[in-house]
Amino acid sequence: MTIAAEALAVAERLERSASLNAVLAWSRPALEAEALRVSRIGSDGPLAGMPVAIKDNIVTTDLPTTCASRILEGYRSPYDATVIERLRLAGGLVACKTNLDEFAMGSSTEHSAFGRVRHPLDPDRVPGGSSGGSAALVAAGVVPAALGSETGGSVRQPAAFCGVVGVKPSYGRVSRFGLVAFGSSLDCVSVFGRTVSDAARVLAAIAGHDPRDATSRPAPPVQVPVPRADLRGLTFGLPTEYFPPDLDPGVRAGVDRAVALVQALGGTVRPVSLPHTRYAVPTYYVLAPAEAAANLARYDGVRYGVRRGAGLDLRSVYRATRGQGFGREVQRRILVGTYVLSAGYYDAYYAKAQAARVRITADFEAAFLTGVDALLTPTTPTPAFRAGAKMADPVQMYLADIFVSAVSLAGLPALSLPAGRSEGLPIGLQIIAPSFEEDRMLSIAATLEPHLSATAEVR
Amino acid sequence: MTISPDDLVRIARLAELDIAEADLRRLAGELEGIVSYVGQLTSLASADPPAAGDPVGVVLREDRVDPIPLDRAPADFAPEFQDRFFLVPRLPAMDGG
Repeated sequence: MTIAAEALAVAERLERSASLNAVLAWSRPALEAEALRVSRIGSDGPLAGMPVAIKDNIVTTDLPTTCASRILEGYRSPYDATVIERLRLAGGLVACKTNLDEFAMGSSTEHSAFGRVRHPLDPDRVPGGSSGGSAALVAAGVVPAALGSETGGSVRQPAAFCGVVGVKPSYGRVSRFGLVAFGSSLDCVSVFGRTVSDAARVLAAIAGHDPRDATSRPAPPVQVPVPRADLRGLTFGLPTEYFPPDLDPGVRAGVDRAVALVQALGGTVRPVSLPHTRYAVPTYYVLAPAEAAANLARYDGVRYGVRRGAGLDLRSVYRATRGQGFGREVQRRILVGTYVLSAGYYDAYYAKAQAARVRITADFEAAFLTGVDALLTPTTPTPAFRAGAKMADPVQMYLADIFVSAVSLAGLPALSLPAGRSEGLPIGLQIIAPSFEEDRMLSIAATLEPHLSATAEVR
Repeated sequence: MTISPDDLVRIARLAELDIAEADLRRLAGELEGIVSYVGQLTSLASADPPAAGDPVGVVLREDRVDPIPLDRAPADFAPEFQDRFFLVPRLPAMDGG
């Protein structure tokens, strides 16, 4: 198929999937212009016309970037993110901008200022979040791959809910230049794919050091994995803390089945302990809001975005703009972040959370030092929940990230692989690897993938 | 830890956020719930200094500012822009207030 024909086919699929509310911006003229541009610069690149949906917190010059917030409604960036430039150079096609929890803060994509995203298999359920729009579009077959972002599980968790592959690279593997900052010590551009290979191809295209992001690191390129004949010679750790008694029985059955497959393929499996796991969510919900409170100070109605409070003085303009422009969850996080950084509370919360982060990271390092090549866990404690089920209690929503936030704090690569369904809803198996060992992680996933029958009922 | 509506007003002022009077009680309750949940960190013994980050592998660029080429000018995206300046309202102190 030519790139122009691919663009036309994407446009038709985007129109048919409108009821998901997964897309915030796309247009036929923009897609045609994109196809023309890509056919000029990268038609024979490794992505060769692959349409890729882009989470709307990654800046693009051709389409608006809103972060699903009223405060950036209609905003168009004056530059493209590094990952957008690299995607096009590889022949990828920017298909659309996808819906998200406002500023990537949420676990259900219900916190978007532009309405919630529907789960492609059950419109009454959530697709997970915060990259729910990207996950839903890949699951619905609109695009084979999409970019999301992770601060604390925002790609792996929706990948598990929607039954697609979600890859979070190591912190520093992919440039953050042009990813709207939320928690800068945690943020990672991450990838969804219909298959491990699709996700790996996109990751390989966007990864690499970028002088415009000093936290990006030089490293050998990511390889698109070739499935191994078996898993002989590899040792897998099962962290006991990730299998609590109240784990959803369907999720447990899905992960048990995957672990049995790992053993059948010759892999060695043994229990390990990550003793500080229970501190991961509280640590995350101190550090991420603290960084967010600082990063979101830039939205003040002066240089870009919406301005409110006409006729008032400067401070009143700041407060009116931010009070009216930010939604409830973003306001809560800014307030929590401001509180834990304020005089008298810094040592009790922020300093403690920094110390906890060190211990959580050390737990993973110790487990890998015992000869474990990768860790296997459930990605989420339950399958996709019903819309509205967790909106009244922020802490209940935060606990949806209980198995994904520790990896983000430690900066490790991790992947969610579809591992079957329970009562029709997808289950995710999480594979966690040591820092910058994406190739090992992707190769394990590619080996398991053809055997896992992702749509089979697991109990 | 209790967080009163008055505490919330103080925090909101630090955060430069207008909070509607009608939302104060609800938000104070939510904040109290979150802060008491993350408060379980206080049971961790202190000691370990926070990680300083990994100096190995961090590649610093030359200490020079090169402007990023922009696709469109600030006048296109700023709320108010004139003669190369972003326009802002006056500070209250400048009116003697």
